[in-house]
Amino acid sequence: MNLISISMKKILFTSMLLFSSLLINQLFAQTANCDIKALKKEGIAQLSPFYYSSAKVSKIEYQNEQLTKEIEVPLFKGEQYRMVFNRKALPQEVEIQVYDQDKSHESRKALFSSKGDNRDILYFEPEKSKRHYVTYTIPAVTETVEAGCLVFVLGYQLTFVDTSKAEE
Amino acid sequence: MKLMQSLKFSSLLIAVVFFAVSCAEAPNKEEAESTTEDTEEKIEEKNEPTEEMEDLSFMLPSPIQIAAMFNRAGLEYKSGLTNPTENQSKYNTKTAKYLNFGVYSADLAYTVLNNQQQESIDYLGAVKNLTDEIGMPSVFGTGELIKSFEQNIGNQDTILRILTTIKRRTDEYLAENEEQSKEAVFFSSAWVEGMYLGANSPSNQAKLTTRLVEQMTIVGDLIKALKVQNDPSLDLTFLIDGLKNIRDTFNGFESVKQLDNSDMSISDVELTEAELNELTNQINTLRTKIIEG
Repeated sequence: MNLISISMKKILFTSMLLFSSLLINQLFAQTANCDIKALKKEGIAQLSPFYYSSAKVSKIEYQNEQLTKEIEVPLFKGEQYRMVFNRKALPQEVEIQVYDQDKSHESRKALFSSKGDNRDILYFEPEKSKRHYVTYTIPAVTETVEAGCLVFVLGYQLTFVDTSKAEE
Repeated sequence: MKLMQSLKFSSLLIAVVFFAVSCAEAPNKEEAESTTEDTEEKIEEKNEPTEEMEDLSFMLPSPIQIAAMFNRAGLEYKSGLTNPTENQSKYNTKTAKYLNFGVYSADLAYTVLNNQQQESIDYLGAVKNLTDEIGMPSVFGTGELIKSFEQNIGNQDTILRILTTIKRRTDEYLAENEEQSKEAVFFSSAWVEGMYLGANSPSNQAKLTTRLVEQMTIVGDLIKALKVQNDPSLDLTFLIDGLKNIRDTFNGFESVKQLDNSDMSISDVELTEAELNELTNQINTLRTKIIEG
């Protein structure tokens, strides 16, 4: 009886340790990636001298097929912009592309691509200000990969009529 | 007995671990922010996106930037054109407070860009009052922004940075409180006010018309963003209808219809005086409804 009891204890203790470590791993996997405020802050820090316009955080979930997300970005003629992408919180690389037209146009042109660039924080300044389309291509995965976050911050160059200079 | 104790201990430990995991899975503010913002973007996959999915996958521009663009296009200051700050007392409903927060924000940018110092301070006060009434006190914090605004009132660049800070903090507040979609409500009324100021400016209209026309490219996005608001305490029907009228009026203009059969872009459209007047009337009608509360 004593022997059985000791064996049972060992089995229970080992199972419990394994179970706990699995759960703790899962817990860290779910929370380690997306510190939204910090990611945004890092993105905004890369805007200067552009002014903050808006930000969008995308949760990136990996599945067994390639997925895409598209964000429309209205840019006004003659204005200057900077798009900052922070992909520090991505467990697997997501390709970022900026197009001149939406996905319904087969002939659309990629104006920017992150392909081959391993940096976490990237930025792009469009040459022509018109409506742009930011596309995230999320690769297919064969094993479970935790979700990540991709932060996109848009900045614009604020210029205005300086009446004091105009009067000089 | 020992076995029983061991089982009890194991059960307790497992329960503790489960509890810890459950707590960890409850979204904190930052995760909530992520979740909220992510509702704005849906995985497209191979399916045709639904209207709602498409609706929210776009970035709203900055109302401060729009005001600055109008300013550069020659928008002159006209006293009495903005929504009087005394009207604040009329805004007793949640809808009126939300919408006029946007209106006063646009008026604030307009007065700042036109170096109207006292008016700027007054409009900042109106914006602050409404942020408090809406329940966003964190936007102005302990008052350091107001103080800095007043101290730097003669420095337009610093003032515009303060306005940008207000905008960023508003975005953060909405995101942290899972109300990111409300940004479209604030922006829509700010947009209407900006268009009202532009369309009714005494300035040379030719310079401004191009900018006004360009703004029409985002009306459709605004309508879609307002349609998906799921807060029953906000009555946005009149706003959506008003924006639809503006859009339909604009799309019905001959000069705009011609776009379909040419390589021209919308910014190349030149409105006739009659068309501009018609558009202005639509904008004025909606703006009046908004500021009447």
